Amino acid sequence: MDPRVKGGETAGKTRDGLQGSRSYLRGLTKPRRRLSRAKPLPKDPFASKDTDSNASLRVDDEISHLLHCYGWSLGDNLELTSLRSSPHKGAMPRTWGWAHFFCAASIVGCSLIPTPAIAGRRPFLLAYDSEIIPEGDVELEQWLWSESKIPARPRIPARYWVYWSPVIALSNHLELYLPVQWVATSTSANLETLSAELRYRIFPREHEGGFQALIHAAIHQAVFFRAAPSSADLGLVATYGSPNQLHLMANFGVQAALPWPEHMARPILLEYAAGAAHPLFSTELRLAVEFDGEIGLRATQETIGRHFLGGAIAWSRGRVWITAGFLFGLTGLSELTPRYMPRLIWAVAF
Amino acid sequence: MGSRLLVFGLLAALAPASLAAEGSVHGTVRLFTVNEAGQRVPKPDASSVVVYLIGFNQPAPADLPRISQKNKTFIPDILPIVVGQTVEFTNDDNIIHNVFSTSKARIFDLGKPRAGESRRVKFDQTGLVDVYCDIHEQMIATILVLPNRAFTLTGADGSFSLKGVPPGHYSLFAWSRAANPARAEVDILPGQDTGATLELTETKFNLTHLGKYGQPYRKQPDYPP
Repeated sequence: MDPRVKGGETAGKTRDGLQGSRSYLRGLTKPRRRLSRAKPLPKDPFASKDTDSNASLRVDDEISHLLHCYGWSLGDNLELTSLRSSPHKGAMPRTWGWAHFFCAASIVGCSLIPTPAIAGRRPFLLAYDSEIIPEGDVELEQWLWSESKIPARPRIPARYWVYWSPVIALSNHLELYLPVQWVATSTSANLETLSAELRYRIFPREHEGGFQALIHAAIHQAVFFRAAPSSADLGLVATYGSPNQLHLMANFGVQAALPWPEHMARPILLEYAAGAAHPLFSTELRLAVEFDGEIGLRATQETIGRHFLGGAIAWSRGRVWITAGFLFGLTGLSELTPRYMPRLIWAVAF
Repeated sequence: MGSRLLVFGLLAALAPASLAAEGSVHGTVRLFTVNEAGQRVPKPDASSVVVYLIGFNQPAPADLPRISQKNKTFIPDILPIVVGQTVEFTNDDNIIHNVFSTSKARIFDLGKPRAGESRRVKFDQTGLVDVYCDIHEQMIATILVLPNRAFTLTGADGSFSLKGVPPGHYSLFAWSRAANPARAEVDILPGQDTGATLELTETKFNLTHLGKYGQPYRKQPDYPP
């Protein structure tokens, strides 16, 4: 692994910090001149705060605790970089123009192909649903989401996550996820966790509609453990109604940090959600609204929470399904909630 | 004790009366096909045409119809049922099948159960449900989800008989996979047998279809056992 990527030792904040970071992520070496002017970052991203001489990078105890409690990642730099417009603005390379054209044409073409509609697997953004994939099938699922700044904690930067997982249906009750998750800020990107998750649907998947229940259990092994501790979670999902009609959902789950590394806090996180989805025009398209919440319990019995309310649109056709939406942080209800959380989930079946 | 006897007595007295109040339909479906010269000719075997009445509802019977997958074939390949009934799909082959339907009346995908395993699907909406296998293109079955029990399959000579039909004015249909359905209006009178003749002409011989994701089937050797 390229140590510069892991530790961000040389990929620092440039005059156009995001540009330099993105180029770096693409594995390009050209921004070297820019990087030479980069603001130096701590050599060891896991070094203790006491040895960090850069005051702007220092994390105070309160924020550090919150990060661990919620699994937030700061990357290596707390200072936020503003997004700048592309230097190519107004002069987009011709290849990009054609790429956009082909992309748009592909979308239009796909929408015109007379393929049967298979109900989207997941109309909700954060909450679980009770649907699982058919026995013996394999899907590849990707989640992309970000959290904006927290009004009450302006020093915590916006963060971005990428989640990839194969989904293997072991039976018509049980499916297995093996996800890999990356976390990034505007100046760094890190492999955050490796996980394994089982989802067990109590009634077989061919019995759709009515009351359905699903139990999920996961273990998350932290890789970039400065961002979040390893953890395990367990949850129950209840739904009512066919996916192709009004579909109601409720979630309740518990996440606990594992006792490694020893020096980390061991908070318990209670998670809960409720929502509803309904087809729009056809079963290919579904609209959903959801409320998501979580409360972190500390040893001192102090509770800190995050709450979101938002909506999503889910589209499915053939072997592909996509769900995209926006969650708004209920900052008035819990001040540690980010203001926005846009999220995109898509999957392709093999 | 006396009241119970009274109830049983009333039921015993009413039962023959209600049976007598029902009517029946009998008749023949004349099945034609088109020969190589494009001429319409009678088909010698007119069996497996579904004849059914539309216009009244009845509850689903308690029995469990079964469709087997055997020798890469659905058995039976045509199954009329009453709405609300459950059908059991059993893999009686030594190879894997993936039974699915994308019909609007009931979308389902049973995955790939192992040999000998069964899956049950309930049909809550009337309509025509085409059932396929995502692995073996040649496997085709059709389930007709009907509103009542007044249905039957024709014999080889095309004859049919529907009994126990409540009196009324109904539409009588004859359905075959390769033909457009035929329709006739019938009046069922209490205790009387009504006659009807229907004609079907087979014109749909192309039974190609798409896989469960809307993809054409790939030409492939037999799926390994």
